[in-house]
Amino acid sequence: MNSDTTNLGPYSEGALPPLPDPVPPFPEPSLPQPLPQPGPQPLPFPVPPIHLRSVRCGCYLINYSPNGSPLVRYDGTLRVECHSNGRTASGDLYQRRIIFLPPLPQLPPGPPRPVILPGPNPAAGIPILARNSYRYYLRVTQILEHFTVGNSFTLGFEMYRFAAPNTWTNEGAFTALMVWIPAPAGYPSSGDYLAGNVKNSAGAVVGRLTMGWVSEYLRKITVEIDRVSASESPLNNGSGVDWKSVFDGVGWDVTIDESDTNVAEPSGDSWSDAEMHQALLARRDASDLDAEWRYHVLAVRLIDSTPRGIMYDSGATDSNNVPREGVGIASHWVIPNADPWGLVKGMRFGTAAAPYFRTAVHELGHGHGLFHNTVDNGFMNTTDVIASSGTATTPFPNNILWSFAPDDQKRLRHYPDVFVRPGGTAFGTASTTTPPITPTDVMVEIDGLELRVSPWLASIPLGAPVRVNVELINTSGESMFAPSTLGMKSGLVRGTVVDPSGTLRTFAPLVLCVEENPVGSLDPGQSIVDSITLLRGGQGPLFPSSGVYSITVEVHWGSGGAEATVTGKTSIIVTPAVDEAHSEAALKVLSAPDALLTLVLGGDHLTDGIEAIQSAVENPVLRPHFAYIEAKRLAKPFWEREADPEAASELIDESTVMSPAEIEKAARLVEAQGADSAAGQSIAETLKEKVRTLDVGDEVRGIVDSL
Amino acid sequence: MAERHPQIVGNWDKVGRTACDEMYPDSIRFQDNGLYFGLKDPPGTFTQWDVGTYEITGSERINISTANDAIVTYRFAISDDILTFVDHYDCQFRYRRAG
Repeated sequence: MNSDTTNLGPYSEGALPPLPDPVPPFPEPSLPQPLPQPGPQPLPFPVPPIHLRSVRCGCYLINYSPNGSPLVRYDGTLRVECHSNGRTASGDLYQRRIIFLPPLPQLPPGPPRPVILPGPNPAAGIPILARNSYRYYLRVTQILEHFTVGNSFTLGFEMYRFAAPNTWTNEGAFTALMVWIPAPAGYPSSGDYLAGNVKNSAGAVVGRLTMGWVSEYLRKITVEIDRVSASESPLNNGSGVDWKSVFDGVGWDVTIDESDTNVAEPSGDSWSDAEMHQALLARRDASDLDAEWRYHVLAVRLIDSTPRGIMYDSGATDSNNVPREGVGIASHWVIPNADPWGLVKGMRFGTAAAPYFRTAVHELGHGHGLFHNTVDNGFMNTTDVIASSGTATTPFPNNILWSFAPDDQKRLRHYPDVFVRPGGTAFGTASTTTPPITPTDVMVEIDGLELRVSPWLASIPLGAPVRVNVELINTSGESMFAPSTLGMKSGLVRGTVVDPSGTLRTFAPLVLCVEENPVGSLDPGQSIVDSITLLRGGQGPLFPSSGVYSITVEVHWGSGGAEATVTGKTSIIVTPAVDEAHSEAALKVLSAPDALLTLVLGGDHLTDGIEAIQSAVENPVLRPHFAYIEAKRLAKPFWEREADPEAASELIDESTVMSPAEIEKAARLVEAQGADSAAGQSIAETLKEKVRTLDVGDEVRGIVDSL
Repeated sequence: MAERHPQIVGNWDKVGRTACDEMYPDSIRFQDNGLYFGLKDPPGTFTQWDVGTYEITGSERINISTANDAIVTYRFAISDDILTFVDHYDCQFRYRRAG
C-alpha cells in the first residue's frame, strides 16, 4: 500500500501466516418492538417503515483509493457467498494502470504527465483485470452475516500483498464502516452500493473503499472445447449434469465455446503433452487471458502419458510459460472389461458419458489449481479410487458424486484470483494457508463445555469396529445451550482418525435423523453421554492396519448465528491378525464398503455388507465385536422377514462387546418385543450381567434392571 | 493391472530430506489393488504423488500416476525394508517401511 506505513499493523514477509483465530460474532441489532395497534387516540408521531438491509450475495466491483497517493488506485472484486450461517467473503485487488501524456508545449519542456486510467465499467459485470496488475488478496474477517435495520455495517479484512511468482506478505488488518449510498451510473443495482473509510489497526484512516454489486455469480470463465473429428465433446454426464450445473454449484458464470471439431491429428496414434499444448496455441479462439478467463479442453483419441485425461499445461510441458490454460481428454481409451469398472466395463471412454464428462471436469479442476481430493467421490477424487469404491448395489459410475467436495467448493469461491485463473500461479502452488483462505463462518470454541472421549476397549483386533464413548459436560456455573444428543444420526458429530503412519481419515454421519430439538439447555454439572461406533469413513476403512490410532471427535451446532464446536481426543491400539482365519475375516470386513451401511441401517438388502459381517461373526476373534450388530439386524423385521429374536439371543452372550448405548438400545428392543419370551429373558439376563460388571452409567443400569 | 510386487504393499515413511525430493510425499501407502495414497506434512501440502495408481512394469520399473494425472515411470528397488526411488531428474529418495 502506498500510504504512511507507520500506522499499519505488523507484517511478516515471506513467513507462513497462522490459521485465523475464531472471530467473535458480529453483534446483530435487535429488531424494534412491534408497533402499537391503532386505537381511538391518534399516534403522537409519524411511524417510519422498517427497512431491513443485508449484503446481497454475488460479486461486487470494488475500488480502493489509499490516502496520500493520487496515482495509486486499486480495482477488483469482493465475492460474497451466502449460506445458512450467513456470509463468507473474499476479494482481490489489482492496481489501476497509469499512462503518461506528452509534456505541455512550453520552454523548457516539462515532464510527461501521468494520468490514471478510469476503472472497470460496472455495466460489464464481473471485471477481468490484467494478471500483472494483481496486488492483493483480501481475507474478509468481518461482514454483516444476516441483516441490519441500520444503514451501515463494518467490513473487516486482512490484506495480503502478492509478489510474483508466489510470495505473500501480510500487510495488516483493516476495517471500513461501509454505508449504503445510491450507486453511480452504470451499476445494475442502485441499492447495493456502499462506501466507507478504511482504517488500520491503530484506527487511522488510510483510504477509501467502495463496493457495488455487479453479478449474482462470484467468478466468470469461458471453457472452449475443441476436438479431433473422431472424439466426442465432453458436454454432460448423460443424466442432467452439464458444465453450467457444475459451475452454478460453485457460483461461477461459465460460457461454453464448442469450437473446432476437426483438429488435425499429429503423427502416431496418440498425443504428447507438447502436441496438445501446440494445438491449444494454434486452435483456441482467443488468447488474451488478461481480458477473459479462458480454459481449453482438447478431446483426442489417445494420450501418450495417461489413459484418460491430463492437465498437461504445467511445468516443463508449458512451452509458453503460461500455466493451467489447457487440459486433454482421451476418448478412445477402452475401459478394462473387469472389476472395478462396474457398469462401464469394456466401453470406449468417449461413449461412457458419465466418467468421460467427469474426467473433463476433473482435469479442468486442476486447471483451476485444485489438487486431488479423496474426502468424497466428488470431482477431484481420481477415477480409479472412485471405481474401486463401487459396490454391488452402487457400482461405478453410479457412485460418482456430481459436485466438488466442500473444501474444494470453498477454494473455487475464495482462493485468490491468481491461484485459479488461467495464466496465474503454477500448478502446485495454490494453498489455503499461504495466504490463509478467508474464514468460512464465525466458529467459536465454547468455554464451559468439555467433550470427553474414551474408547470402550483400549485395544481391538484388526477388522473390529471401534466403539467410543462421548460425554459432553457443562463445567461452567451456568446453564448452557448445547446439543441434546451426541449420536451420529444427530448430524452434529464428526471427526478424524489418524493411523500409525500419520494418514488422516474423516468420518461423518451416513444417515441423519432430523430431530425437532437437537439442542437444548444443559445445566451446570450435567452431561450428555452417548457412544459411537466407527468402522469406515469417506476414505474407506478407518482402521485398516495394526498400530496406534488417534481419534478426534468434534461436535458442531448452531448457536446465535455462530457455529459452536467442542472437540475431544482419544487413542486406541489395533492388534494384528492372530491367524490366517482372522486375517481373512478382517480383510473381508475392511474391503466391504456396505459393512458400515449394514451396521447403521440393518436390513437384508445390503448383501455384501451382511456377508462381510457374517464372516466376522463366524470368526472366533471378531465374533464378540460383531455379534450385537448382527443380532440387532435379526431382531428387527425387514419387509416379509419377521423379527427373529431367537437368533438374536443366540448371538448375545457374556463375551459380546457392547457399548453402553448398545446395551440401552438392546434393552429397549427387549422391552418393546416383550421380555417374557425365552429369547427376551435370555438377552435380559445377559444385559443384567453386563451392567453388573461394566461401568455403563446409572441411566443405562436402571433401564436394564427394570427388564 | 500389471504384475504385483507384494513387498511394496504397505505403509512407508520417507527417510531423510533433500531439496530434490521435496515434491514427493512424506509418507505413502501402496495398496494391493494398485492404488497408492501419499501424504505431506502438514496435510494439504502439495505433493507430486498424492493419490492414484501404481503399476510395476519390470524388476526395477514402476509407473505412478501423478498430481496432474500424468503417468510417470520411475526406477525403484526394495531391500531390507527400504524402498528407493529414482526419478527422471536422477533424484534419489528413500522410504522405510512403517510400523
